Amino acid sequence: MFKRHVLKELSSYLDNQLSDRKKFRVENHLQECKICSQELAKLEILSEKLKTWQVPALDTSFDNSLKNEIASWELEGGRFKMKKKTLTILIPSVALAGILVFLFIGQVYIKRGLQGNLREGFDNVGQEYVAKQLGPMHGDSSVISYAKKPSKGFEYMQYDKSDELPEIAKVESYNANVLDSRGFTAPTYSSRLSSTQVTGSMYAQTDQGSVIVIQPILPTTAEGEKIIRTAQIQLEVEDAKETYKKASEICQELGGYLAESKFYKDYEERQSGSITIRIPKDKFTTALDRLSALGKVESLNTTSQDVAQEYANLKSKLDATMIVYNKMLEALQKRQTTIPEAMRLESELTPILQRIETLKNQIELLNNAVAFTTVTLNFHESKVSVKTLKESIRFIRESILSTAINTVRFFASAIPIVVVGIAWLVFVVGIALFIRYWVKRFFKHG
Amino acid sequence: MQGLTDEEVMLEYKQGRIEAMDELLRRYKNPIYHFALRLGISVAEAEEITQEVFLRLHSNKDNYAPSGKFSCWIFSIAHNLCLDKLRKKKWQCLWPRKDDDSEELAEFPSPDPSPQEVASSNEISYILKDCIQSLPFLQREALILREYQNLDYQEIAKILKKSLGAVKTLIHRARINLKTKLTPYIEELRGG
Repeated sequence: MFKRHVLKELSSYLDNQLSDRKKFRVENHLQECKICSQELAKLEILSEKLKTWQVPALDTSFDNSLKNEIASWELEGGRFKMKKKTLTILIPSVALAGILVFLFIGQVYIKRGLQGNLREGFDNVGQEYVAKQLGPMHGDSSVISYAKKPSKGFEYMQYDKSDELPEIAKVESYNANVLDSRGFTAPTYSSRLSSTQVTGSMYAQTDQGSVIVIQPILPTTAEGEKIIRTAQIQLEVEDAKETYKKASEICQELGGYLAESKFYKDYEERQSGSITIRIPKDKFTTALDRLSALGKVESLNTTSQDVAQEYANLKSKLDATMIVYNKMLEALQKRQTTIPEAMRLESELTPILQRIETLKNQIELLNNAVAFTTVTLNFHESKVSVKTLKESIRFIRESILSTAINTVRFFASAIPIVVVGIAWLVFVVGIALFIRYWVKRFFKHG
Repeated sequence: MQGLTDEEVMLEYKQGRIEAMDELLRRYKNPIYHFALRLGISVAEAEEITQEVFLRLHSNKDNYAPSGKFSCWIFSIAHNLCLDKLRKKKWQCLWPRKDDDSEELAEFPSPDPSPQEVASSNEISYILKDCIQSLPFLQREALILREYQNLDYQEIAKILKKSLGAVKTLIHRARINLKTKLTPYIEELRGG
């Protein structure tokens, strides 16, 4: 006998969805239980009544309309039109992503732009340089000076005739001495050389950026010929400090000497400098070869100045003056003169003697200029070097970090506003739903 | 074509026979349309859903594999589309758009019964519709699939992505709820 009602099974029994065993059990129970039988009967009635709910059939034009849709779908290449819902999510998402990317790029750009302006300023701020003379460093011929752009940490260093590159030091204080356009006085040897240029610059650059250096065709100098040669080489190097050291070594190996050097770096840590060396005239070509090999040659200029005429004139003047001097000296020695007369003659000899010394000095300087050629090597580190790359990566990392921090700060500051806003929104929506519920209930019940 | 099963007709359509679509339309356009209508979706939207179902059927015909019953597959598509539509409608109901005046009117009918409603208020179909619409969505859907589409519990479970036990419970509760709601209107249900 089945005492337990099978009300829960009746629905499945009605739909013939029970297993044979359960069906058998329900049927047995139904034979004896009036409650369950009545319930089943009600469910059967309900099911019959449900069938009476008729709904209209589809319009006959539906088939054609659907086929047209399929045809147009095929014509569109089988792509579903993007749903409005998708667009409503996609467009704000893309816009938000765009704003974030814009903010990030903007921040990077602003930072870069600022640095660019400062660098640009660095290139044109000769008048802005201020320097502090720190006194002799290497003997009496070495002078070190530092310059710093007042607003940013740009360091500049110059020293003369020194074989070693001193460590760059921080500027402790400034004075207001404004130097010339580059902040330095011109070297004395170059100011003495007049500019009669004989040969021009010679260099060529291939598409790939490699430089084929065309050595200047130098005029052959006969023994006794007086030609002053100068050269300027512009190099792009990987490591400016290393280039400076190698150039100094080349200078020493070739029997020359360092006339002047400048070395500086901007606050992006990109170093550059120039070095002026004096090389014996027979080592001039070798020096150009070896110095050009230190980096990528951007330009190579050579000039030659024939000073034979000037030398001959000076020599003639000296000879003539010497003859006058010798004759006057001889006359003075032979003649018996009184003391006042001797004093007068000596006073006349003094300017001649001074002139002779001046002429000798000028000839000596010319000899020196002819015997030693002047090579100026300007070098700077390449913008795209391993070091620059590392700096850029570091900069990007810092920018990302900075952006992340700013974003976190922004959201952190926005949290109270959002919380209060959500609270208000929940409150307002709650009130609205409550009112809506009561309005619906009011209209429903009367 | 008429002697073929649904799966065979679909396979024919997959192979490129256009007549197969006519046969599928003949067999399923009204069941799907009625299914959508009985779920409480408006006439225009039910038609749109039916069209979308057949469009999806067409676009996915190459991927069709007769692993299950075709009716299960097609009603699954209809179920998903109806669900999307009702969700959207739910939100639109809270924040109705100004350009959806017609929908707004459909959603918020006048509290006074229309002449048609007055005329049909005594009809059992009107009462039935009202009571079925007041059922929870899943109960309503399970009951409609069972009563009007004659699908067995296993198929309904697949369409609704529920377990067999859950479907049994849904249908049982739907019937109990409906019986309770209809008792005041149907004489035969009052006895006991």
